[in-house]
Amino acid sequence: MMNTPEKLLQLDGLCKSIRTKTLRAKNIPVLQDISFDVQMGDIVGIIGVNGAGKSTLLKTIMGFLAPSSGNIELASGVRIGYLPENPYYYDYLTLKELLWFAARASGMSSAAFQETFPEIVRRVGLSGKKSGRLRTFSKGMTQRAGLAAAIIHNPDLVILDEPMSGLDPIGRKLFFDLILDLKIMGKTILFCSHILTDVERLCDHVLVMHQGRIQEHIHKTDLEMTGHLQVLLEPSQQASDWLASLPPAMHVLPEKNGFHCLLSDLDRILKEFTQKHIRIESMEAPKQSLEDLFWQITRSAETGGV
Amino acid sequence: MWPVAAITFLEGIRSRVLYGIFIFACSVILLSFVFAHFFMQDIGKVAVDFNLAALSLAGLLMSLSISVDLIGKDLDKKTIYFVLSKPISRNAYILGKYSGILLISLMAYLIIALLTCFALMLLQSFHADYFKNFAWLPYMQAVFLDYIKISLFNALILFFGSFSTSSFLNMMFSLCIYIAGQSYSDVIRFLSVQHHGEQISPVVHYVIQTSKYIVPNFELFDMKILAAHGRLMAFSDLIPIMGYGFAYIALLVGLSMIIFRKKEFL
Repeated sequence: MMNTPEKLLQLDGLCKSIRTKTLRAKNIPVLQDISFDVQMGDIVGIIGVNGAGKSTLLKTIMGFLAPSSGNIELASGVRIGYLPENPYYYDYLTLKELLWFAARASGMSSAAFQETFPEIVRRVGLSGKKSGRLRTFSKGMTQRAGLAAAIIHNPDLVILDEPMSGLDPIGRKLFFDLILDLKIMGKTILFCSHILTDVERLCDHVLVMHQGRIQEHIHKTDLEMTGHLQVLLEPSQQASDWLASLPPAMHVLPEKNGFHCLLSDLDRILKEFTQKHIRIESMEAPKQSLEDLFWQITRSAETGGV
Repeated sequence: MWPVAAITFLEGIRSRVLYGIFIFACSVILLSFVFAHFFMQDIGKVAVDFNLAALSLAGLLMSLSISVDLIGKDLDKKTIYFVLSKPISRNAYILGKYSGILLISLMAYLIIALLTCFALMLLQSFHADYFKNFAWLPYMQAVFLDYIKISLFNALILFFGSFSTSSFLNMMFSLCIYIAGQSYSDVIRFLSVQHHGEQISPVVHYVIQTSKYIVPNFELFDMKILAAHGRLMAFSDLIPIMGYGFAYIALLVGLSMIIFRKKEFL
């Protein structure tokens, strides 16, 4: 049992190895020393290249795989909603029957289901398909039916495995809006995705996984401002001399006739420019995209750096 | 457990295979009219035997076509992630699946048994003289025991399904055990008689004796001969057979739950 009531999920040193099914069987580590926690109301995204261990991590949290070592702790009484990757449902069922199963299996009464059903199908945009067999549904519709089945019992923690994979742009937009709705409703969401722009827009925290490890835990504020300014100077001899005199730590940009500096150094530098008659052409605080960070982190992990 | 049983039942009744089996069973029942007339003196016995055989065969085909896929399809198509993401224990999943298939076979048995009763009533009305020994109670007793047999067979399929991911292998294992269980008492009887003074190899003897305790004896539940002669099995004989069936079912379902509890879904 966890002490902090706001902490819904806590992973501590989680490791998982999978035994190969060959004659000379060996254990392949797929998750290594995974530790993080999810607070109530957090939206946590997990990103990584294919085979990084994202889905395996979610399956281990869901109990489909047993951890080789380490702990997974869920706050008591937490209700979970889960949407698997490329979900396949019993296609002989109608949408109503699928959601009836999801609701009843989650402990809802028949009366509560009858009350919730119209609202949930409206939210996922499937009001016109209540009696439609799932085998007639498109991939996007199946995905939305799956989300409805995952959230019908009003879960505290929603776990989504690649919720937008294989969807067309319209399907993606619809699904993105549904997740955004859940965020507005204050749900705690843990999801993995390849679509970095969506992760960037939705998440409060991002875990970057590589080769079964969490390489970086990025907070939303890390993405908003890197703390550096990019300053470009008007071409002049004074400017060139000044740039040439800078130490390498100041990140000179020779091809742009500019440099990067910390916000805290700006005041001192401006005074120096006034004295030396150096004119500034432009100044901006570039926002670092998740994609940039992701590339830096994975490249660094592959080359052995941190 | 009940939501799992309910959707398993729905899967069964919406399966086209089930309708095919019904058509097959109806055809066999109709054929019983023709074949029974080949044995005019024994028309009553042949008709009872034929109808019970049709029922038993339909149950077997139904199990082999629907039950073998119950768990295998969930694992193959990854539907298991959806089901087990709900607060359903793995034990409840196994029990739900088994209950669902029991409900499907119960419904199928009731419908086919009703059809066979109709066929027998017609034959009885045409040839009342040859149905003097016939009685409904032994017939119903035979139907009931056949249902227990098919429930045991389904428990066997469930057991193999709990660790085999291939539906084909599950079907092969189950069918082999069924054939062995239907015929090994004949094999034991045959081997116990010495032929021209030749001794049976001790290895064969050991294998046969061991399999007697492992392979469920499906033959025990076959009451066709008694029913054909209109003889009711004594209660004191019926109870141990039912007890044997229920104990074997409990063992197989229990083992399935233990195996499934440790299964990982990658």
